[in-house]
Amino acid sequence: MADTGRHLDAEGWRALQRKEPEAVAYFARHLAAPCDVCEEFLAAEQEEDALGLEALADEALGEAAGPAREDAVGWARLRRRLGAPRRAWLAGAVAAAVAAGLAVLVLPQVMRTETTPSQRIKGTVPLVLELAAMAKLPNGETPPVRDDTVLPPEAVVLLHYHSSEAADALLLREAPGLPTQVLGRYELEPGTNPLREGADLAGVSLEGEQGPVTLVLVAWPKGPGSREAVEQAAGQGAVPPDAVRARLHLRVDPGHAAP
Amino acid sequence: MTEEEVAVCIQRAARGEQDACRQLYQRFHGSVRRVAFGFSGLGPAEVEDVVQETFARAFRELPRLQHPRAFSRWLVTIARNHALALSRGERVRALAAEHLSREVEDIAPAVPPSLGVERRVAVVRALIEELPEGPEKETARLFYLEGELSAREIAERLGLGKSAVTMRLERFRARVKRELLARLLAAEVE
Ligand SMILES: [Zn+2]
Repeated sequence: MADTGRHLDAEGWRALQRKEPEAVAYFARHLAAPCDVCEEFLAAEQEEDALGLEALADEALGEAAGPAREDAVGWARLRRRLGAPRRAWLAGAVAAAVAAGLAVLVLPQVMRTETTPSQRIKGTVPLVLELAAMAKLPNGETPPVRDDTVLPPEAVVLLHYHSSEAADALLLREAPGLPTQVLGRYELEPGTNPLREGADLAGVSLEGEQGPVTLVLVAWPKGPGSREAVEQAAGQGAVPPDAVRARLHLRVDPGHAAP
Repeated sequence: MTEEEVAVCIQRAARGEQDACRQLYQRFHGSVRRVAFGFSGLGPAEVEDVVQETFARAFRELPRLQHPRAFSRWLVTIARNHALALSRGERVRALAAEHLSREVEDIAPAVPPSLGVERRVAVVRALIEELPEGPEKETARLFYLEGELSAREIAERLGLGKSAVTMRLERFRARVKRELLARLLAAEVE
């Protein structure tokens, strides 16, 4: 391998995959400068790539342009393929319209769902947490959702919360006979707000669901340990008995067109 | 997203948490799409299929990924295999399951410091910069630095044939591979 005129070929490539010291030393020097012959060899796909060169190149080439713009459509398509319970996100103008609709619809009404007072240190005011929802139906209607509302599986449930203070929260889905599933983590702001993920409204798609489904928002007032509490509950996939929570009970019925 | 945030996301996504999957998708769909866009034989719908297949497969196999640092290299590997299969007219399903297991295990857990992703991105940018002004540089710049157009769209914009654009992109990519290989080997020698 001492000949200086040597270029990459199948044999040299194999030697490099096996990290033969002579070949490694020679090509480390030779390839340090542009070489049309070697680059032509490298342009072709190689069967063996123990060095992971293709991936190193594609990763760097893919990152060169900087962050890509958000792809809400691609994600919406992908999440339909991922396992139930599916999430749904509404972006842009639709989200704004729905959020406005939610505000009008929800605020004058009594917030639905139960609230469990927290077991906080004596003498402090407990966190008050409430959950309200509306459904987005395929026909474009957005009826309010109350406890025990029956919805078709095509519906997307959009959530609104009221929190008395800033909190770290977890949204879970409970269904009989199925393990509790974490749907998302949120930072709640004081007041009444739609549940958001980035610029999108967080929604829960009911695709693939049937029968009773309960959405549970569990929250810990922001402070030391609140994030850890979220992580612990997420890791266990369970609602800790001492946490503040708000539940929304739904029924999914494929034969049901609208609430 | 920092490397640490990506690692946390991967753990969550491996547990099936969809908000984490969503963050990973939004962070990496650009790189995955860029791989598929390089294949001028693929139409826009096929490119989207490659993106979908890549992430669907990656999320399914995520619990088997040992090294979170290797996640994005693993993604582009899956994407390249799908794009190759599609552009050769094979059905995506024809990719054997063992092929995928190789994809998971083949990805080296760590790369030498001289080949961290920021360093490699700098190499890509420098190589584009060094190209003499002309159609080759313009093609690489449009495709990799602007990062929005497909090889097909660049061909239309520059008034060239698809194969001419593909050839230029392949030649540039080979130059990147040559430079990265030289650095990889140099790190071995040290
Ligand atoms: Zn050479």
